[in-house]
Amino acid sequence: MSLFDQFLIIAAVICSFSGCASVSMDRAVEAETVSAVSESEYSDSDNPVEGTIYFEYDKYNLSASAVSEIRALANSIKSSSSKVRIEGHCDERGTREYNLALGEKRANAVSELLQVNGVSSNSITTVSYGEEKPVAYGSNESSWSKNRRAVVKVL
Amino acid sequence: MQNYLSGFFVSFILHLGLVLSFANFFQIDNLYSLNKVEPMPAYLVFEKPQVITKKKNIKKVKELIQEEPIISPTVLETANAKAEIETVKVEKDLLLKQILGEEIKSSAEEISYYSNLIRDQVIINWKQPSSAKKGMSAEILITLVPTGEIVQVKLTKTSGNQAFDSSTLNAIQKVSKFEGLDMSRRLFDNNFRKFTLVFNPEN
Amino acid sequence: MIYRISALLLLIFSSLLTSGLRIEITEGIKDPIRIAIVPIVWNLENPPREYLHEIISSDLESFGEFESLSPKEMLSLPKTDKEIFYRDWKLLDVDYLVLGSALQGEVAGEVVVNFSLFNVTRERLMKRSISTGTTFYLNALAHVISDRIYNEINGLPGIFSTKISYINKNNSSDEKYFLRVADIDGRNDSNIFSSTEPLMSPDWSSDGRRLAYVSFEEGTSRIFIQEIYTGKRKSLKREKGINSSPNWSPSDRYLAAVLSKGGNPDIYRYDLEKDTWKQLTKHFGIDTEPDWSPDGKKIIFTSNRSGTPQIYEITISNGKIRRKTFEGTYNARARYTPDGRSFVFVHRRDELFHIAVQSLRTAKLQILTDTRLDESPTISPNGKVIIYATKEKEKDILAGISIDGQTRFILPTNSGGVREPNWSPLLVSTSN
Repeated sequence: MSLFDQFLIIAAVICSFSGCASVSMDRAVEAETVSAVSESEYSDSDNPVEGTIYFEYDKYNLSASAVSEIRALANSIKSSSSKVRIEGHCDERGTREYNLALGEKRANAVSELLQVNGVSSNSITTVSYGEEKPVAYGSNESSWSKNRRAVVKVL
Repeated sequence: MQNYLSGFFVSFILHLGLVLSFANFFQIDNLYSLNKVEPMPAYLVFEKPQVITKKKNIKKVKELIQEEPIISPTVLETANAKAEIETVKVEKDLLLKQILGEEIKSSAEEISYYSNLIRDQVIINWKQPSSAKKGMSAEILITLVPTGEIVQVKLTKTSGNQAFDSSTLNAIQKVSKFEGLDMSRRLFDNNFRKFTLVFNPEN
Repeated sequence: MIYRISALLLLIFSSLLTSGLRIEITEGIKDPIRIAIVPIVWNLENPPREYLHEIISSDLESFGEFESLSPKEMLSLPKTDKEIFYRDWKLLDVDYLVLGSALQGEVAGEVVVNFSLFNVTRERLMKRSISTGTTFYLNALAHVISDRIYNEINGLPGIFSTKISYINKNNSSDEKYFLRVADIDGRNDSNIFSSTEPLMSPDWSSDGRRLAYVSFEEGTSRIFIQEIYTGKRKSLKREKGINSSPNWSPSDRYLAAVLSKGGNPDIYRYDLEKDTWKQLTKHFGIDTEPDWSPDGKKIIFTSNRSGTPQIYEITISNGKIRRKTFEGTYNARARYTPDGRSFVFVHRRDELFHIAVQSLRTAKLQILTDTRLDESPTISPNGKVIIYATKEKEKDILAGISIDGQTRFILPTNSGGVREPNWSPLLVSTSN
């Protein structure tokens, strides 16, 4: 048989075993090491409340009673020429960051109505605390309704 | 010159015939293909009552596997080799008969039954690794002897994930011997002596 | 001539010889993997403060994937390969076996552990490894070993050396807020920062060295970045209104965050190198809770632009925004899974808040938890486990669930209320 024939036969035989893979388990041995942690500190404070406006679940629109309450607040603020801070809050339901945004909507709603009633925007600062500073800690409507609020504080 | 030509011609036809039947030219594989078989109630399909009673539930099968001692494969291999030499001459006739459509229906359903038996025994032994994902697929070529003993295992297609491949090989190792494969010799040789297990998780 | 042609034909058609019966296996069993960790032989002078095999067993069993054999159940305690009788382990239905020994390292206090992992079913060695640690931090060394065992068996990185950051606050108005970091097994619980004003939204940098978070110490929300190992902190350039929801990009070059300086909350990108903000979304509704995709090309976020909170995705290069959730009226706080193919989020159904997972490709949604006031889901770096905040009997706690929803657990905590968990990235390399 010529070399070519021999090659063909060998190749044919090899090809009939084609497609078979072997599972290799060889892994290198290695070495490694380990590590640790550390810390720091800080602090702050609060002001008298002029009024608190309450809201419905997931909402930032003002009820009729809220509107009249804000009008009264506006008069009081204008007469004393004071500066106010409006803090928006939510109940615990829903996600925290979304509630931070919702709290801001509530604070802004009160701020806008105060401005409509003559309070200058320079006298108003708004802040949202989302669900981070509740006044009631129960997981029920009684607690939740107390937390859905915008607090107007005199500075 | 004429001798060479006729000799060449006969050899060519013989090889072509064999090669084409292996290449599924005569559509034999499709006749036995699992995909085309509809599941049917056992009592309608099996002529031999013994076959029905041998359909054990999974747990019982597992117990059987653990209790029976493992037979040495080499002893069976030599016995089979002898049998093979005898039947090789008859094989070509058998191929032709099957092409003509004899006994095809009951064979297809038997294949389905034994395939399910094999599948069930693999499933209970396969602990899928955490990294198993839909789309991952490993293929293993299994070689059996008529008793159901697994004598050779080859990973023919890797999933690309070593942990997954390893889990499939572990499963087969755990099975070590398939129970209840009491089919005709012909059925065994044509389908179950060598078959491929395709591991393709669906979750 | 005959040989040539027949050989040629065989050659051409030999690949077709492998066609034959094919049986498809589409499922296996969900039983935990059984592993036996033989107590590590301790060759050092002083006895160990705790047992490595106990920590490793406890690690592997944490999330329901493994079940370990207690030494009492072991029929033998092999110290070397030669002492292994596979039959002893197969009888106990063990899948994997670990042997090891600990030696004194070069320096005082240093420990070197040699361990070997065996596949009992196939009676073979899978991996040998050497790990070095200190006698003082044996738990950290045990976690490295657990990571390696997990990785070798499951093909995924182990998460036993990872940490979790969270906010601790007790339920009363005069209590302080604490930002803390603990090992995933609850140990080494350390304080990172504390304040009398709220702390929120901690997020680990991709390099595992910094935490970005929101602090109200200056009277309103402001974003700070603190280096965990030095305590150094600095704040981002403060803008009017809300400054919150910081989220590190995969490269740590950027932080996605929320600013409401434009009149309403929108998603902005902060460039740490240039100290500049770039607006990414512009809509009169609320856009918040951004999360960077693992490939750094997209950001998933919450927006109520359709009326109620839903999940949206923005492609950073072209600004294209697509809505992702369509089921239910409240879907928020999405976080990508490490493979980038799905996201976990808070989904409200029948007034209850659950953690759900949704595929980005098929949009198929699956609720994972049956707890009711769930929030802040965070996923392990290997994508297998989710930890989230919830309430149990009016107390804020952290709970966990495996991504397939099969295993549930609660994280034990020493201190009072805990919330806003954030899983660290992989901190120690487990690949070799």
